[in-house]
Parts: sequence; C-alpha cells; structure tokens
Amino acid sequence: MAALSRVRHMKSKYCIFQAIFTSSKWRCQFATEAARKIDLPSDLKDDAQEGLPDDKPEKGYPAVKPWMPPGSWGEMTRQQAWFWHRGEINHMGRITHVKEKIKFLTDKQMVAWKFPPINIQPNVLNYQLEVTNTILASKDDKYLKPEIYQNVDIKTDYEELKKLCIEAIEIEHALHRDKLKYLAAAKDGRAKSWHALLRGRLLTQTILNAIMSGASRNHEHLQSCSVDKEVTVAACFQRNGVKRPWVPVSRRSPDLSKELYLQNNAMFQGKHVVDFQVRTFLPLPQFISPDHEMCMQADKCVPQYNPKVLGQFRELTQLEITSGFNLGSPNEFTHTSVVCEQLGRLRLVSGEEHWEQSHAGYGLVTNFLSCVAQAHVQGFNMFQDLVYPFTAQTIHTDGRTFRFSMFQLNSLKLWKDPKASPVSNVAWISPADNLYEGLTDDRVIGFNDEVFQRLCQCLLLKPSSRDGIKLNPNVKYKAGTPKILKSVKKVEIEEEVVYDR
Amino acid sequence: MTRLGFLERIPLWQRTIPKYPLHFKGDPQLRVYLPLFWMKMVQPANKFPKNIVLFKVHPQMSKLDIAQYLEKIYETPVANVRTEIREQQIMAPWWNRSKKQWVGRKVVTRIPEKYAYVTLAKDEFVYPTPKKTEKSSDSERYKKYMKIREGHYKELNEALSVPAWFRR
Repeated sequence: MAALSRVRHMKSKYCIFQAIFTSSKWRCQFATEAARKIDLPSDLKDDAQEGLPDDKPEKGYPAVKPWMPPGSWGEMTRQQAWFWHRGEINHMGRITHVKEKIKFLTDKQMVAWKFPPINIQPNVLNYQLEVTNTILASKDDKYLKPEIYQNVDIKTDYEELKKLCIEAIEIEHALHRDKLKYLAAAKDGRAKSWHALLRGRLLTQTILNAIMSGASRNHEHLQSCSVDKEVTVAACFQRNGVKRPWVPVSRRSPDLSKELYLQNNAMFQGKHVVDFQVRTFLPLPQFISPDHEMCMQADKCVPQYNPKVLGQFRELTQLEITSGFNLGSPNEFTHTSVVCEQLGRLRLVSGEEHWEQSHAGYGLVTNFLSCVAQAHVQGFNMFQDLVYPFTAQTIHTDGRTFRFSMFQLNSLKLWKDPKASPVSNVAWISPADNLYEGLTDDRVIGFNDEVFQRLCQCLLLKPSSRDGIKLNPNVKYKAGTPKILKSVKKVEIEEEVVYDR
Repeated sequence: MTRLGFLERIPLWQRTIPKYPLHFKGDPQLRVYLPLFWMKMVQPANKFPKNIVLFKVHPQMSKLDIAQYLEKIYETPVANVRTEIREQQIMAPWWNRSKKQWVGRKVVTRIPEKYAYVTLAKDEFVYPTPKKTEKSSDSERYKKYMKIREGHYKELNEALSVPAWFRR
C-alpha cells in the first residue's frame, strides 16, 4: 500500500512537471533563456541579445582536413601523400638526434634492390643514372669539369709536388722491383686481379701521402683532415618509377592500408668499401647552383625498365646507413674517396665498351652513396629534404691510370615523381688517362701534367661553409672541433749538466 | 613394352640429356651428335630494352651453350646471357604422387622451366605484337554458330539416313 502510494505520488508529480513543461508559455520562456546562452549569428539574434558582451569567441565547426597535405605530390593518392607528410612532421620532426633518426629509418628488414657500385652487367650506366636521378654533364664525349676547379691555387706548390710525386713512384717501384711485370701487364688483364689491386693500393697510398704532406703547409684543410683506409659506406633510398615487390595480404601490417603497399617507389640498398677516404670539418663547395637548368631535369631520369630485366637482384636485408666514421667525430664531411679496383678481368672478357660503362658507373655510384650517407649524418633524410646541395669527388686509380668523377646531390626526395619534384642531381665523369707511361732505368717517363693538375685540384679544393645556412638544422647536437697537432716540440732546458774531464 | 619403356610417356623436348664425356686436348675427335637442346623465343611480360631478348630453353642448357647456339646456328653475336629457373605449378597427376605438394587447397607439382635473358652485342629486336582482329557482334556470332550446327546435323542425318519425321 505504501509503495502504491509512492508511485501515485511520483506519477502526480510527473504529470504536474509534464504539464508545466509542455505549456506554451513555459516553453517560450525556456527557449529565450537558452537562446541567450548560445551565440547566434547577427541576423538570427533577437532584440534581447543586444545587451550581450561582444568579446566572447564565435563558436563554429572544427577545421576541415584538406584533401592533400601542403606541397606538391604529383600522381600520389591522398593516403600515400598523408603518410609521407605525417612521417615528416610527426615522426622525423620530433627526433632531434642523428643516431635515433638513422635508427628509425634502418631498424627494419625490407626487400630492397641491391645497388652496388661494381655492376658487371652490360649497358648499366644508363640504369645507374636513372636510379640516382642524375644528369651527366658531358658534351660531345668531352670531359667538362666544374668551373670551381679553375679557382684552386696549385701554381705555388706545383713543381715541388710534382717532384715529390715522381720520387714516390720511383721509390715504390724500386722497392718492389720483382713485381713490376704484374703492374705493367695489369692493363691486359693477364695479371691476377687481386695482386694488381694490392700493388695499386700501395702505389696510390704513397702518391697521396706525398702530395698531401707536401701541400699541407699552405692548405689548412689538409692539416686537420682525417684519412682512413678500407672504409665501409652504405646508404638506402627509395626511388620513384620502380614498383614495390608484391606482399601477400596475410603478411601485411594491419596499420598500413593497401595503397601504401602499391606505391610506385621501391627501396634500394647500396654498400661498398672505399680504399681511402679523406674527411674534413667543412663540406666541399657546391659545384653548380641548384637553380641551374641542369638541376631541374628530373623528367629525363625516370627509370624505364624493371631492374630485374637488367640483371639486378633484390633480397630481404637489414637496411643500413653508414658514412664511414663514428658519430661525434669532428670531421663529418667526405672530401675525397679513392678506389683502386680496375675491373681488369671484365675488360678482358667483355671488351672495352662494356668495361668503360661499368668503370664510369663505379665512380658515379660511389659518389652518390657518399653524398646520401653524409646527408643522413647531418640530419637530412627522405622525409626531411636537403637545404643545401651535398658534393663529393672520387679518384678511381691503380697508381698509374686515373679517372676523376664529381657529383652534386640536390635532393633526397627521390621517391617523388618528376611532376612533384623536378630537381635532379648532376655528375661529371672524366675519361681514364695515365699519369705516366712507364719506367726505364728506375726513372719515370711520359709524365702527364694534365692528369697531375687534376689530381692536385681534387685534393687541394678547399672546403667551405654555406653562406649563412646552418649545416644541420634538423639536429641538436654538436660535433667535436678538429685539432691541429703542432709538429714542432718545444724543448725547455731546466738544468744543464757540465761534466769535468 | 618398347625398348624405351616408361620414357616414351615423356615428350622428346622434355627428356633429360645424358652426360657426355669431357674432351681433353689430344683426345680423338668426338663424333658430331645432335643434343636435345632447344630454344623458344617468348614474349616478355615487362618492358624490355631493344637489345635484350627472352628465351625459354632446355633446363640443362648452360649460359655458354645458349650463347654458342645463337652464335653458331643463327650467327648473332651475344654480349651476355643470364638464366633464371621458374617453377610452374600445375595440378599433380594421380600417378605422380611423390612430387605432390599441398598449396592451400590444391595439390600441385612443380615443373622447373629455364628462361634466358640474352643481351645481343650488335642487333636489336622487339617482340612483334599480333594484330588484333575486330570481333564481330554477339548476334552475328550466334548466327554463324547456328549455321555451323545446322550443317553438322544435316551431315549426320544424311549419313545415318534418318527419316524426315525424326530430323532436327
């Protein structure tokens, strides 16, 4: 009975409440009070709203996400573009240390196309130029080197350096007289390639020591540079125009959509060992302005063929990026790389034309991998593009034959198609030429001054900082400062002993 | 049972070539023999450069055999040869149980096929694409089919001398 009475009491209260709420008078009053709390547009406001303060912010809908992220994306779909944009801002933008940036990029195994510098397949130079997005600066088969080399001062020390170089060659041959025949026969390919390689390395080492020690008096960068032997350089990059390998649905990550697996860019991994590497505190100067027309020809460098058709391989590898030194070293920029492999056996088996292409491509890819690795050490990567161009030079020699190649890297966003990123890289490759013809009676004959001048220009090219541009804007750490060791020791005489005789 | 026995089931182009003896300098000249080598030009699925041609070859042919086959028989200089073995998956026959393998719900057997990517030294070759014939419309094809069918029935009826009442 008590419960029933309570229900009746509740019902009656509800009925009263319902009656009040549904009455038109109450509704109007409620509506006006509610409307006072909402900031209505001016055309819908009543006269009662005029007394409200105007400093309240207008409420509206949240900002609509644009269809494509800022920047040019070419033929990419919306999801692919936002994926790359998010990688740049959310992931790479928050990492400030170089080691962590490199770990983020390489802490995974991927199916990547192998991109070694030594490639013995025929007609490989065009493929290497397309994959590295490079324009070869040559005209009518003539070698054109960058104009910056004309400003290198070699006249003051030229005669002295020439004398030192000739002496070094003669001493080296005198010490290993029994094995001279192997070096002379290296061009024919009859010598064992490994033996010729060892001899070439020794001869190159003596020539470089002679020139660098002789010229360091007047060139500061040679006093504080680092020279290392047998340096491993590795770099990985994604290139547009090559389809990714098919991944079955069962092995795909649930976080990534189907479109990301069907992108028109694939991973390439290059790794090799450089015989000698000279590193300096500052980078090499740029060879050509990034606004030059040669640097905006990416539409001519699109890969035309699948790498498998041209004899290339892909494999599941751990990605790797190393520039050849420990992080924290003061000398972070590669000045010159020297490689001694001459591919003599390939020349004998396949002929001159095939050898010429592979030999030229060796220097090109060495430079490219060196530039990409240097850029990663400075905090740049495929998400955060370069702010200034990176340059590299390679001397390809066996002690007698020299080939010089230069490279300028203008952009790391190789995964973008030419419509989105028309920036291309530039390379200069010289023909192979002899420094000297031979030796008779332990004396050098046929010394080529032109080749020696180019060699000196390469080694004596002064590195410089970029005008007003910070070298590592994406990174917050400082490398050590280079130390110049003084060769003269001060001897202080504390006490002089005089003996009685 | 013939002399070859079970080998007769395998076609000539699929039979394995027996090992021939090595020839050393000074030995008597071996007789000329005709090995079961064959090469078949195949249309590539991807875009190829003009100086690279794709062949399907006998699985026992080496790179040197392929180069010499083209140079001596067809007089085309060869710069480079690369070979690749692809496995063709087909439904396993009931009499070949040892080579069966379950792939999903299917029972398959794998037949290895050898492909050769030949880089020509001087010549260029582009695989010709056949001309596409214009397809007739569906109604015209139906009429053609019915005519042929009528012709077959007419011949059959005349051959069996079927009375007119029973003819179609």
